[in-house]
Amino acid sequence: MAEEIAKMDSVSKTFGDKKILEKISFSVGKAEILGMLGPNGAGKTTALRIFMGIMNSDSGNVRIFSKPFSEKTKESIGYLPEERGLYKTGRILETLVYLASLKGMDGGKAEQRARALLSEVGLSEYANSQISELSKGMGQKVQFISSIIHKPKLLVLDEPFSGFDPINLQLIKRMILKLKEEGTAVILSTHQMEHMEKMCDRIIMIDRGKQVLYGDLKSIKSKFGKNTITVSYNGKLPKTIEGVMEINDSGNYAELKIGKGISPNSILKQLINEVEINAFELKEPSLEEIFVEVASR
Amino acid sequence: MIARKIIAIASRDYVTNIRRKAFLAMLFGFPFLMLIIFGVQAYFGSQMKSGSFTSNAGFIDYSSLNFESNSSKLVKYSTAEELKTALLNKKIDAGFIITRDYLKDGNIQLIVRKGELTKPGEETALNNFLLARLLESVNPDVGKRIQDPANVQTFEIDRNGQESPGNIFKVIVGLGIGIALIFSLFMTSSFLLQSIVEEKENRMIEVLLSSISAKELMAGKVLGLGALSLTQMAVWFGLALLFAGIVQSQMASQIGALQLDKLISPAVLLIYLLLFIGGFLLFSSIYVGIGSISTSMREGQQLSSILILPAVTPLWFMNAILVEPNGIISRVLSMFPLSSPLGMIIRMNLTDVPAMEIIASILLLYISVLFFVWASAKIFRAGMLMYGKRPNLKEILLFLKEA
Repeated sequence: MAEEIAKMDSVSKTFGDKKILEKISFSVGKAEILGMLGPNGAGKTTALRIFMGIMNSDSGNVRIFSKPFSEKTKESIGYLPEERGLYKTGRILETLVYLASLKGMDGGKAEQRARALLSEVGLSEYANSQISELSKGMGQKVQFISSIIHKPKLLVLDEPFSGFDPINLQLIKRMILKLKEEGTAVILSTHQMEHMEKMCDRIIMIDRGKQVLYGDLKSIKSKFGKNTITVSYNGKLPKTIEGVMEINDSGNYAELKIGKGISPNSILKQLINEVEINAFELKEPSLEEIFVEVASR
Repeated sequence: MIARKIIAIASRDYVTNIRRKAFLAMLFGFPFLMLIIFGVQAYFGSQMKSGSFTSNAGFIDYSSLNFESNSSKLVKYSTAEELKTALLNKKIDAGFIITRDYLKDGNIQLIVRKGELTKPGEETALNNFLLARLLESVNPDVGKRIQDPANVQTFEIDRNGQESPGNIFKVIVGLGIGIALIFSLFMTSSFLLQSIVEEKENRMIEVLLSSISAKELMAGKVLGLGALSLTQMAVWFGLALLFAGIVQSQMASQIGALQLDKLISPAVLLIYLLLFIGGFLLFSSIYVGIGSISTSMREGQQLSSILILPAVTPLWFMNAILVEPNGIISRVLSMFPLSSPLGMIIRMNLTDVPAMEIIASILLLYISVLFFVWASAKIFRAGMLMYGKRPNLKEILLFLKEA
C-alpha cells in the first residue's frame, strides 16, 4: 500500500443495547480509493461519521496522517455525507466561500478555487445566482464542489453518485479520479457496484456492523475464484447442464455459474455436443456477485 | 484558527438574520408600537386629569341650588326637551340632569346618544364643576384644599439614610427595559431555533460538523445571535434616549427633568447587562437543545413556546410585586433562573434589593447556564444527526450519557 493517510483501528459503537459497529478496521493510502460496501443499515454511515469525528466511538481509534483525530485534522478532509443539502437562501459563490472558510481557507483563494470548480462542472454563470434558482442536479454538483474546494488530502464520499444523470455521473467520476491522481486518498461508499469495481483499489464490506470482507480488490476476486462462464452460441442451450448451478440464458449468449471444483472443460465438452460455440470465457465473479454472496451468508 | 471559524459561523448567522424582514420590522416596529401605546395612554391620562370638559356638554338643574355654567363647553338648558334636542342634533355630546333631591342623594342622570359613551374625563369634569359650585360659599383656600387635598411628593430614603425625590419614571423605565429585554431575548432565541432547525432540515448540518465541532458550531450561533440581540437593544436604547431627549426639551416645564443618569447608574446598567447576557445564554442554550431534537420549525416552535410562560411570570404577578417588592413571591421570581432576568429588573426598580440577593440571583442564573450549555451541547451533537424522527425522553437521556 502507498503511504498511509488514514486508519480506523478496531472501532466499535453501540446505541443503547444495539451493536452498530463491531471492531471495524481499515486504512487508506495516498492516491488510493477504498470502497466501502454493505447493505442498507449495515453501519457504513456510522463508520464514516466516526471516521470524520462527527460521532464518538465506544472503543478503538482513528488516526489520520499518523496522528490521533483532532479538530484541526478536519481542515485536510473533504466530506460529502449521504444526507446532504444546501442552504435555501444565499448566493452560490458566497456559500462556497463560507464553507471553505470553515476549512481554514483564505477568502480570496477560496473564491478563485470556487470559480474554477464551478467552471469545471459547467456552472460558472450561476456563481452569483441564488441557491434557490438551482435544479436538483446543479445543487448536487455544488455540494460536491464544497467537499473538494479546499483540495483535501483525504476525501470521504458517502453515496456521491446518487441523483446524478449519466453525463454528470461521468463528470463527477472523472473529478474523483483526477483527485486520486493528484495524491488524494478517497473513501467511497456507494451501492453502485459497477463504479466501485472500476474505481476502487481496495474494498471493505460491512454487514450488520461486522467487517466481513477487507482487502485488495484483485485478491478478493481471486479468493472467490473464477466461477462464471460466458458463452456465445448458436442453437438451443439445454435447460440443465451437469455441474452448472445457475444458467442465465439470453438466447445466443449465456452466463453459467459453475459449482466448486467443477472443471470448465467438462462444461465445454457438454456444450459442444448441443450448440455451435462462438466464444467461451471463464470470468472472475463481479463485485456485485461477491456482495450478494457475502450478504446472503 | 478555531476562533476564526466560530466568528465565521457567528458572522453568517448575524448577517442572515439582520436581513430578515421579521427582525427589521421588530427592530423599528417595537419602539413605534410602544410610542403609540404610551402616547394613547398619555393622551387619555391627560384628558382624565385635566378636569375640564373636552367636548360640549349640557345640563339642567332641577335642584334648589340653581347652578350656572362657568365654561363655554357646558351649556345650561331649562327643560329636558331642549337638552335632548341639542343632544340629538349633536350640539352637545352629553347631557347631565341634576335631580331635585341632589343635595340629599347626590344623584345625577347622564344622557348620551344611543350606542355612544361619554369621553374620558367627562365625569371628572362634571365632578369638578359641581364641587366648585358647592364650594363657592366656602373660604377660597379651604375650597382649593377640599378640591385637591393632597399634593403628594414622594421621597425615597436609602440604607444610609440619604433622601432623594421619588421618580415614577424609574418604575416605567425599569419595566420598559425588562419588557424590551424579554422581547429581544425571545426573538433572537427563536431565530437561533430557526437557524438550527433549518440547517437540520436542509441537511447542511453534517457538512458543517465535518469542518467544525458541535461545540464550536453552537458557540458561533449563540455568539452571532447574541450580537444581534445586543444590536437590537442598542437601537432600542438609542431610540428611547432620543425620544426622552425630545420629550425633555419640549415638555421640561410640565414634567420636570427626567434625569436619566439618576434612573440608571453604571452599576445598575452592569447588573442589567449581566442579567440580559445570562438570560440570553440560558434561553438560547435551551433553544439549541430543542432545535436539535425537532424535526421541523413548527415542532420546534411548539416545544419552545412552553418556555415563554416562566419567563414572563413576573408580569402575571405584577400586582404582588408592586405591593410587596420584597415579599416571598417577588423574591422567588427574582431568584428562579427562568424568571429572574425580568423579575430582578422589575424588583430593582421598585425597591432597594440587597446586594447579596442580586449576587445570588446572578450566580443562580449563570450556574443554570453552565448546566444547560453542557446538556444542550450533548443533545445537539446527537440530536442533529437524527433526521425525520424526534428522540424520546429515553433517547435524550442516552444522549446526555453517551454523546
